Amino acid sequence: MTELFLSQDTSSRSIGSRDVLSALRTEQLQRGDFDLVLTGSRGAFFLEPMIEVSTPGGRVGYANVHAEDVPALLDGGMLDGAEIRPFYLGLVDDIPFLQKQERITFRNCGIIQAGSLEDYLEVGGGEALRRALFELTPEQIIEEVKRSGLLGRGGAAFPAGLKWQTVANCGSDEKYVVANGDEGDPGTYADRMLMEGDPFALLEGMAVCAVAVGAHSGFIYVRAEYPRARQVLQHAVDVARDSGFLGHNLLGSGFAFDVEIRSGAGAYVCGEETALLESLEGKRGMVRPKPPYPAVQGLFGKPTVINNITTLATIPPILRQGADRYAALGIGRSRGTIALQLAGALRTPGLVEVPFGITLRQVLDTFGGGVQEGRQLLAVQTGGPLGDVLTEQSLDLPVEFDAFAAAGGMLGHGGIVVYDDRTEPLELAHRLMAFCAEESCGKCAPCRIGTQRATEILASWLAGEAAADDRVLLNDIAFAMRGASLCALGSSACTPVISALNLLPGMPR
Amino acid sequence: MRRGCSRVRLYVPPRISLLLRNRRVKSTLLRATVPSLRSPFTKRLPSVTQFVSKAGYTESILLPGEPERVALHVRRFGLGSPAGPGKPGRDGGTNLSTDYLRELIAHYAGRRGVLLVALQDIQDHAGYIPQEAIEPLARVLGIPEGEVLAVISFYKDLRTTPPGRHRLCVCRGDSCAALGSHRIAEAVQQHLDISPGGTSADGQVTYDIVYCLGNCALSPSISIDGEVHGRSTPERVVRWLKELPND
Repeated sequence: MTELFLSQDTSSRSIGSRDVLSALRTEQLQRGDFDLVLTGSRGAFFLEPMIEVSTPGGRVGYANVHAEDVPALLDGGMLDGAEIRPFYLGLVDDIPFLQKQERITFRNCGIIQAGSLEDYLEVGGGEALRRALFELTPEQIIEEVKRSGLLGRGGAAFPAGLKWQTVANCGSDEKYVVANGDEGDPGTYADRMLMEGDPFALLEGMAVCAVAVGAHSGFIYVRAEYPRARQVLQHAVDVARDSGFLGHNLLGSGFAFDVEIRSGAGAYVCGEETALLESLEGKRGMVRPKPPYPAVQGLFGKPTVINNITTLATIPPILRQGADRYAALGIGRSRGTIALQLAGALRTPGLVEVPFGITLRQVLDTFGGGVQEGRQLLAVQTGGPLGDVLTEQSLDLPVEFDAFAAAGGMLGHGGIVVYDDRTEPLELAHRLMAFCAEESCGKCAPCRIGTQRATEILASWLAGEAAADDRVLLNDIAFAMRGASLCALGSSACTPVISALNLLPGMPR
Repeated sequence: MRRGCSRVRLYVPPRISLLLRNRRVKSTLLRATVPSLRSPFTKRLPSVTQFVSKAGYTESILLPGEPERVALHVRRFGLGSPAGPGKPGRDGGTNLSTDYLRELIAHYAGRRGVLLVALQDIQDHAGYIPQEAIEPLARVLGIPEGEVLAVISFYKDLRTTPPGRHRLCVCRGDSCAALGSHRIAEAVQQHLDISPGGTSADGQVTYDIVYCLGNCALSPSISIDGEVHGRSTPERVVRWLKELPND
């Protein structure tokens, strides 16, 4: 029977995919001549809601479908891949936005049924865990991860293999694997797409990690704003447990590893690893001083691997296809691919997975389609609300952790937000600062007080009351916060504001 | 369903209907009998079910949590028990039955690091964290009441007053702000005559500003009762608010 694929990712649903599903179900009950497979999204959100039809030549896509169009599409021969305008896209794999990408971490998103373990196994899932359990020693697993050059994708870009090694070396009988799904940086959504579109890859990555470091218990911390991700993950965990993919006897090996899903409660700072651990322990999500690092004293004081969702979900393809193949991609210290999340005033924003090394300009033009019709680029912000504000001149920067750091910027979790001339630069600076003031956990005085004072200064400028020495004061606050805060929220809060003040037009000098 | 569904058998498993009542989804449950209907969620009935919501959307509902947790929910709702549960909090009265508190305490007593989960559990159940839950919770977890209050005050999502019937979140994240989310916030505030964090006078809507719903490619975004809507405009959001069911 012909298979129809439809994304039920939060984003796809937000733009009408849930209505299309309803319409398709109605038709299905009456016609009964197609199967419906619900997937995550491929990340080409400007095409959603998109229906894909399996044909002998590959999957054919129909873009921007509304629920009302569904009966006509079915009557017009959609099931045979007919060329129905204006929806018809041709082969989905040939769409330039997707065709020019190199999908490794997101290889299954939008392709397989999100909650089906059978589908996941069919596309090669489970192979990495099988190797980890039966072919490799824990040392060899860690060696593979090290050789792949995989850096943590949460923002700090710490080598994943090294972190695992540290935990493996700790002689504790109680260790934890924690997946950080508190994707709080505004402008990022890669983790959400993975959790909703390929939950088993995350679980497999966690299980491999557990085998490597000798942990038997894992947590996934999902932010409260992602209820659907949590729902899909919980389902995946239940299925995995029933199938021996998790539980007291992984794939019959006798190794025990189980995962519990925990929900955040609306605190941005809990994306910081030590704050997240505090929150997992049921406390206020306030950061801890480092060292000791979580790898030595993490959850409940025990050695803990805490990795980003994207990092963990990249482990299965690395182990399956070999570390060398992954390490062959990328430049410098940044190996493999990065999932860039395009957002803001672009024509065709979406998720783009490409090897490191492409320039920011290429990303924005090739994939983002440039700035929206009739608008001028004002600024590009990378690395979330704590990242640098860049202007036109910096766009030839290669997308790579070290190049960004050298330029004083931050690649972070891969979010790229584009502002056009509709944004008032001073308002932008004020909003970024106000965000940090609201989200500061309050542990470090420079951050707790500094973010407040800086917000007040920017608010007074907005009200047209700039005092002569405000800039000096702001720089002093930034200096104190950078040097005397425990986490990135405090040390980087002023970075985008200072860069915006220096680079953008119309700022008080 | 908008276009008829004569071949569908309506089926309402009692425990699911109770759970749905908790989630304030007044809907007709639908269990599709067509074998080819494949969704990620249909394979493990009855822990998973589909229903057609009032708005006509076919939805999949996954019962929350592992079997023990589901069982806890079911017991909490007093399935077959004459005591019966309290109603989700909106009239401001006491919402937590002693049965529920007893269950809660039995479930979390002696467990490590479960304060936040327990508070979330209470809030899922009652809509907020009533004063009368704090003392027993602190006692059973062996911590001072002050620590419970400290955790509640830290997390924006935890509340100690009853919420409105619906929850509206307007995203003010970077991408949404770049595309004019402040106009949506202004329109909402004017329409409801409240500021962020407030509940409209008729108890219909609680309105919050959030930073990022993870829908940045389709900004500006809002969410109503957890369902995200992309490419919103002030006019559309106000229209959705007017169309919210008043149950």
